[in-house]
Amino acid sequence: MRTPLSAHGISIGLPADFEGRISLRGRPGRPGTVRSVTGRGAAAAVTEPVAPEPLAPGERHYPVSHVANFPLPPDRGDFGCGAVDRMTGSHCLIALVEYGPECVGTALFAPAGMPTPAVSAFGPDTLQHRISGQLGYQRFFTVSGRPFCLYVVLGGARNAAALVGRVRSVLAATTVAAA
Amino acid sequence: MTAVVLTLTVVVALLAVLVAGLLRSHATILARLHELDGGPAGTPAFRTAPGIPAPERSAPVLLDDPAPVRRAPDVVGTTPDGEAVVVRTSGDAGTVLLFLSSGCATCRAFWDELAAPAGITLPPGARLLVVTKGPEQESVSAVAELASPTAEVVLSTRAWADYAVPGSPYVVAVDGPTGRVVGEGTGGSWSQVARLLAQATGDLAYLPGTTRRAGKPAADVDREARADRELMAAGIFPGDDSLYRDPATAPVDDAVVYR
Amino acid sequence: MSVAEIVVNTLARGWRRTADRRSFLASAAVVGSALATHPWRYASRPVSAYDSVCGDGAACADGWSVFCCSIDGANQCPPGSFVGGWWKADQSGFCCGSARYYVDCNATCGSDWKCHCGSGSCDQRRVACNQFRYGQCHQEIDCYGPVVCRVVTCTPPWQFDPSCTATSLTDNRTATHSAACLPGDCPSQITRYWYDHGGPGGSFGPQRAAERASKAGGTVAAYRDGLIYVLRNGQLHTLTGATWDRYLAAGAGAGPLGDPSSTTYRDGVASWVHTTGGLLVTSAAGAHAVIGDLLGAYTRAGGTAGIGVPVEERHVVRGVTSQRCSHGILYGSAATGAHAVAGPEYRLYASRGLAGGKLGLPVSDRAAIPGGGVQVKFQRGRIYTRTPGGASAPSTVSVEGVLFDAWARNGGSGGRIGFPLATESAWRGGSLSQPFEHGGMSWSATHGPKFVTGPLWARWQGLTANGRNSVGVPIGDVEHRTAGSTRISCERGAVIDGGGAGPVVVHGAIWDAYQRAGAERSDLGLPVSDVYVLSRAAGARQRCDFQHGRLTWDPATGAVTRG
Repeated sequence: MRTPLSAHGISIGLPADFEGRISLRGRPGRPGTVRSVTGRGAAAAVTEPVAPEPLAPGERHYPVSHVANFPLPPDRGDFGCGAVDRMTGSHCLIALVEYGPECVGTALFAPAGMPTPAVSAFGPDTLQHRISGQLGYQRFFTVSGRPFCLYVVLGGARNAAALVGRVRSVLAATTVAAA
Repeated sequence: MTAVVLTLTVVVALLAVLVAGLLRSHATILARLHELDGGPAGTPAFRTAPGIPAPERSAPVLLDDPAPVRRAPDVVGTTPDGEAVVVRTSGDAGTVLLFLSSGCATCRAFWDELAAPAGITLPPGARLLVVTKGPEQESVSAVAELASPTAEVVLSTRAWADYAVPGSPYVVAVDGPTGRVVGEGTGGSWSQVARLLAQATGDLAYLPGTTRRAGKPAADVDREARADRELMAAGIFPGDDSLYRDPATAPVDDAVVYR
Repeated sequence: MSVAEIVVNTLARGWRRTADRRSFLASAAVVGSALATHPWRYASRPVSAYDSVCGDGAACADGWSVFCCSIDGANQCPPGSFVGGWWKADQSGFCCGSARYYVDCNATCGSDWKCHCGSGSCDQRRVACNQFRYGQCHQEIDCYGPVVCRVVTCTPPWQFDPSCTATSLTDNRTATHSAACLPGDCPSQITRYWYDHGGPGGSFGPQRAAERASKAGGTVAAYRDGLIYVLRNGQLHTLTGATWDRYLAAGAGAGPLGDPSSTTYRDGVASWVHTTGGLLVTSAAGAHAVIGDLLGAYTRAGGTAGIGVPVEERHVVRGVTSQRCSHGILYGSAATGAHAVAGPEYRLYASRGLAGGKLGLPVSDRAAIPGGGVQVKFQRGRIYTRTPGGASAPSTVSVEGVLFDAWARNGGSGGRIGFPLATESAWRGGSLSQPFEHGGMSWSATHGPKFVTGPLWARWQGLTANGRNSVGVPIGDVEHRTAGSTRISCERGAVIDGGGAGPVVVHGAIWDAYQRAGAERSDLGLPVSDVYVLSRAAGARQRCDFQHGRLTWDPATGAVTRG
């Protein structure tokens, strides 16, 4: 039995052992967003309460969906940084990142329809940042008139076939409404 | 030169101890195996206590399939930032659901304690999830104001119904591997609730300052976890009577008699 | 548990974390040893001072991509790569609390980038290894290679790269990532802009002079190929190209131009920037500075809209500064001050020899005059642009030199003859004449300046064309030789009125004979006609009629007869 996760016209039927989040940055959030103290001399990331950052003129945010078979930390990069670091060999992460409507019709987003990844399409270097043992997959496409990037990370090669099967199952249960 | 000789003497002594222990445990293992498989021909398969007849040899008893375990529901809702979430409560590690609201006076202590996460102790890998009612029944801005940056908060009226939460504050502990609720209740502060959880689950890790569990070799931990999974798949859960039967009162069809 | 088992358990736990009791015993049973050794793990990697410069994830094994400046010194995509996408880290100390943007440079398909580890001082991240793309930029390119390197900027990428969309993606865990070739915490606005444009390897090149306070109130820094400056209002501007070259040649901030004090203004013809010491104007005529005393004159003349762009640098000759512009000229001296002559006044002034002509240096700006029109005053003259009564369009005229002197002594434009109607005419022999509103002036070397008004002047003007007539210029004032008669004597004749026929012109041999006879007081009386020709034949006799006779001149004999 699947649990539906829906927001912003994106609906994902989650299998029993998956959890997911659909977020949209750029909206007034609660004060106290976690961030890392930057700059030289900082030996470690520090979290402290800060006010939400105002948007730069013209900046646009679009929905980002994360689905995984392990607990997703609240503070994650849009392509899963912060979550991928916690993955073991039996874990997988799916990131469905939407882009602005101006991207529709461009060569990069020309492929139509949700991709169906094959095991052979995964690679150890197709990662936002390489973590030993992980495999990644990335595709840009347009579905229902909306441009997306699908990024999938597998925690290990040993279970790749089974994990890809789970990923395809999740994608098959994902629908995107027209913009 | 003297030091070398002394060192060698110590090493040899240790080796002798280890060899002796090895041989002894080997002998014990052989004896136990002997008891299990009936030993040489003519030897009785089992030795029973005086007055207890030996069991009849018969075909293995087929056990009924265990009733499927009802997994604790996932938490479906939104975060104060507007994120739509489905949080899985079962998995490799457990989940503690803390049901709070923005308006209840008793909840204030919990919100304050969550702001100082050093005071919150959980079993390794466990996840603490604060659940309030959904935006239709709860003030999102008030929740955002109360919630600390490190607390994971989900607004979900459905979760309150799924877990039959009688009121706030209320805590539910879900065991990760089984997905079962292993403890629930309420209290005036996290420290009270932590004691409740420790009693319910037997896991002292909920209590601050508790001595850490003695470290085990990782392979031992993996093997015990595998055995636990196999027992649970067979319908034998922690607390099952079959694990604690008195040998003197065990029924005659038991396959094994324990000393 | 026996002592032996306790010892075995303790040893297994303490010596081999991946082992358990069974495997430990198995090893002992197989090899006869309970003390097989295993590699010790490193507790942690030592943290060096370099780690704090490059931030987290600086090692190759950490899996992140290198910064471009660690490859070739420039904070920009190297050849063989293109901007493939970007993300931001919020509230970065590197950007004074604002977001820091990381721009990925993906290898172009067919380029020869090979995966390897960076060899920077501490930024040893991966080069051309991660086959990943963020995707907001250059979406017309669908074939891409791995990320060669990263560029960082505090400016949103879509604001300086039109190929990038503003679809924002975030990864705050990269907030500490940096390199020794990038600026440190909260760099100045100028430094951020410099690095946004490539830093030392970028379009501005290496720094020539350290950032300092500007004389205009902000800050300024000079680089090999340009200047970056911040004004008092916090706005950042640059000088590059020909403007920068000229500025540098003039000594930059240490020169007479000083520091820039404005943005760069532009119209369809030129661009210009104000400095604390002048103005730097760049046009098709090149970049030229307007400084010193001439700057005020240039500004009062309307700048590029009024006097055009400077077409040369300032000259100083014997205490007089000058600078030509496309539509005028600037002059300055201690005695006259600095003034501009532009437009139609400049065209006339130029035709009259500029400061080397009779007008001399300008002593005033162009100014409006009562009754309409404008004037420019000169050391010895005036230039007027007016629309005289009855005219349909304005005209530009001058009064200069000796005529100006006499005219000015007699009240100038407020005198009896008013404003000039045309610039002076030069006659053969060096005489001058000039018409005015209410008369005229003449000048001859022998008789000096003369004023003539009324009908006599009108009659004289009427017979003058292209600086020629039969009588020459007036050499005397209006005379009343007899009651009821008036006359102006000219070089070769006279205009006489009072005979009843209006002003008539007597000249040549007949005039000479008339004079010998006593002129107006002779028995001939006053002339009642001009000298006229008796027939159209060449060499025809000429005659002039008088009240009481006539005089006839025969050019064949030269004799003047009365009859």
